Amino acid sequence: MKKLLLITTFLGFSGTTLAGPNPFKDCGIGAALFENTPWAAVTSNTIWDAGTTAVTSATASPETCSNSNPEVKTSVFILENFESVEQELLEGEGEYVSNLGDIMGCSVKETSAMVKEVRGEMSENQILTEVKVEKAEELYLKVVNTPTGKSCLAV
Amino acid sequence: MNNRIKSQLLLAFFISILSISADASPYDLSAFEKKFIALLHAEKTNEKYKTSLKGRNLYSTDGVKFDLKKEIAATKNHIISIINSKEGSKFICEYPALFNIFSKKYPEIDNTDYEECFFHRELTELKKIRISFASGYLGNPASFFGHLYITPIHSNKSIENYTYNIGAITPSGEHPLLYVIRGLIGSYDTSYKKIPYLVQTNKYLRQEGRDIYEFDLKITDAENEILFLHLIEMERENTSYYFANKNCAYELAQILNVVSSLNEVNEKSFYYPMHLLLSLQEKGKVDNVTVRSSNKTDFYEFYKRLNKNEKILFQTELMNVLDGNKTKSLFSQEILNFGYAFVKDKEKLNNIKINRINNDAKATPSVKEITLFSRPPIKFNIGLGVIGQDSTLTLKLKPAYYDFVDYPSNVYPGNKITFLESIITFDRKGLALKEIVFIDIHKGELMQSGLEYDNEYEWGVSANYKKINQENFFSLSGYLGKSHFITKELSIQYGPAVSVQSNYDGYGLVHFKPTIRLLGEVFDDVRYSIEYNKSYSVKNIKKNSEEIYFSINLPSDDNLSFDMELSKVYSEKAFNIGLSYYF
Repeated sequence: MKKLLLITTFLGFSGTTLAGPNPFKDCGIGAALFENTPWAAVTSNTIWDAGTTAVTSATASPETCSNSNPEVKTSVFILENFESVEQELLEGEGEYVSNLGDIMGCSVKETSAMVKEVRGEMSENQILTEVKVEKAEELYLKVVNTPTGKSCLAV
Repeated sequence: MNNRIKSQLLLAFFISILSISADASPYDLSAFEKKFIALLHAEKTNEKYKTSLKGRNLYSTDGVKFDLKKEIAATKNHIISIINSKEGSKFICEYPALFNIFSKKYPEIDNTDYEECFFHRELTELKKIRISFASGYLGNPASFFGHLYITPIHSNKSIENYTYNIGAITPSGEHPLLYVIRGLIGSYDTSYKKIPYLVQTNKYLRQEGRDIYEFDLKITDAENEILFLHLIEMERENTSYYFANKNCAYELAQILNVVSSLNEVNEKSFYYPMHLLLSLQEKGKVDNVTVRSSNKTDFYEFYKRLNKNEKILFQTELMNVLDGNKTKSLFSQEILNFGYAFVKDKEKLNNIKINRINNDAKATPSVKEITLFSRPPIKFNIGLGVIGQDSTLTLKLKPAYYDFVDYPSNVYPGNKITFLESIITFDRKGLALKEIVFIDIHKGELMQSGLEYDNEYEWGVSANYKKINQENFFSLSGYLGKSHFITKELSIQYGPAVSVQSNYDGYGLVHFKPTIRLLGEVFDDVRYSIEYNKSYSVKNIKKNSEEIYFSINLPSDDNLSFDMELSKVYSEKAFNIGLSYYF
């Protein structure tokens, strides 16, 4: 029984297995990212709504890619706040990490546990890509594939 | 041009810059009328008012100019005529603040609690209104003097709050020069875009590395409500954006004017975020100010407190971490701040991140209390002195944000941004334009630690006109250099500059200028700078001249200081002593 649990945990922690959809691939999250013109004033015409942003290149259904779906919310949150989320995960705490846990349906204790698991994963497998959307996707997969992360999203 | 006319034009220029436009006396208007004008972002022009809200339908006229009493009557009649219809519900949700003031004023218009409107929940849960100021940023001309935005806080979960970001709508890929020109002449529209508060914070704090100062407005619940309702109205509105004076600060001041206790006079030729912040502070509307500091600021704050031995310890640990050595790290958090601020090498940054995970440390507090900076940004100086052989009265206007000699505290030191600095003199020959600094930007690195990766060069660009020995002299120059602290109170900057300039006295057009500058502080308050450069003509190196500048500044309070300046440029020597007023 213990062996079975161990194997399940190991598989669950793998970066490639995923319970739900991958919003980056299946809903096109990040495909409509606005251009970062260095001289542009501090506004953009991006519509801050994952539902609209996602539909542009979605392969999954509109329901799956809806902004009320916690996986989608989580992916958008990580993409739009990548720098702060990454830094606070490294630090183990912070406003963005608390909000991340909240989006995923984690309690305060579960968020803490999830952060610990993600940090362990970040220590072993660094994010090597320089492309923003790919970085966000990798971080997203690390987060949602932690045992606690999966458990929070499953509820 | 006739000298008399030139003099009058110069004086008129100064007066127009300094003066605040005289609107109709606000005392002639009732509280309701003032609120109505504020909601329409209207200005008085002759006997009528003109709204700056593009696309806003007025009810007494087809244009943008209106007679105040007629427009109020027409709006009231319009509301009464539609109130019980579908159109009435639409009006209430699109113009909730306008509806609010009319329903309070006229008993025949029933109040509403906006139950059918999309913002109903946010309104009922509204707690406070937050103002945020992101510090100045040289990566974007629109942000040289910082940026302001406003956030209605209705939830304790920051993820549920949305910021209203006031900015120019610019096409992506716009050429930088066109961007500056269009921004100065008001060619862009202003939009009031709703952005998640956390996204906005991440953008400025982490993506752009800017410090963010925040405070909640000290106003009543009713004032919070009308302000929030007006923000809802502004989501659909556009105005014209002018970088220098009708920018985020101006637009935010216009919005805040709907709250009568915040009535902000903001008709200036230059209006910066700091103007609004200081005005709010003066009116007692600023609650505790907190700062979210960038990684760079956090690191510098930490590093400057270290003594010599501690610095050696830190440097050793940093090198170990950068090399990927697994080590017990005392400074893993500070090294992380350093890494995010300065290290671009992917592998080394990853080593820093892994080091942070492997060594537990206390995260730098994300929000700290701080005293808001208190010196207004525009400087007007009047002085007496000598230029060459002539005694002069000198007037100087400097729309600067901060400069080296009299930099205020709490401002990131080392940067200087000035444009249209103008100096006129008055002597026995009459009024004369002495100098215009069209633009002068210096990106400084005064806080540098000197550690590897924290080793950026300072740079500067300037374009100016001056009169030297009665001759017109133009120059355009660029500078690249370094700076070091010799002691805590004395820093040195040095580096080469290249200048393309008027061929004054046969000295040639292109010059190479090694430059050195000392900046210091004595007796806590007195600040001085000494600058020396030797200007070599590229065509004939034997043709060279010296430029020497010495200035001292002694602040007496937040608005006044005494200044003394000595200079020698080519053969012209000058001396001036005067009083500066900041506004």
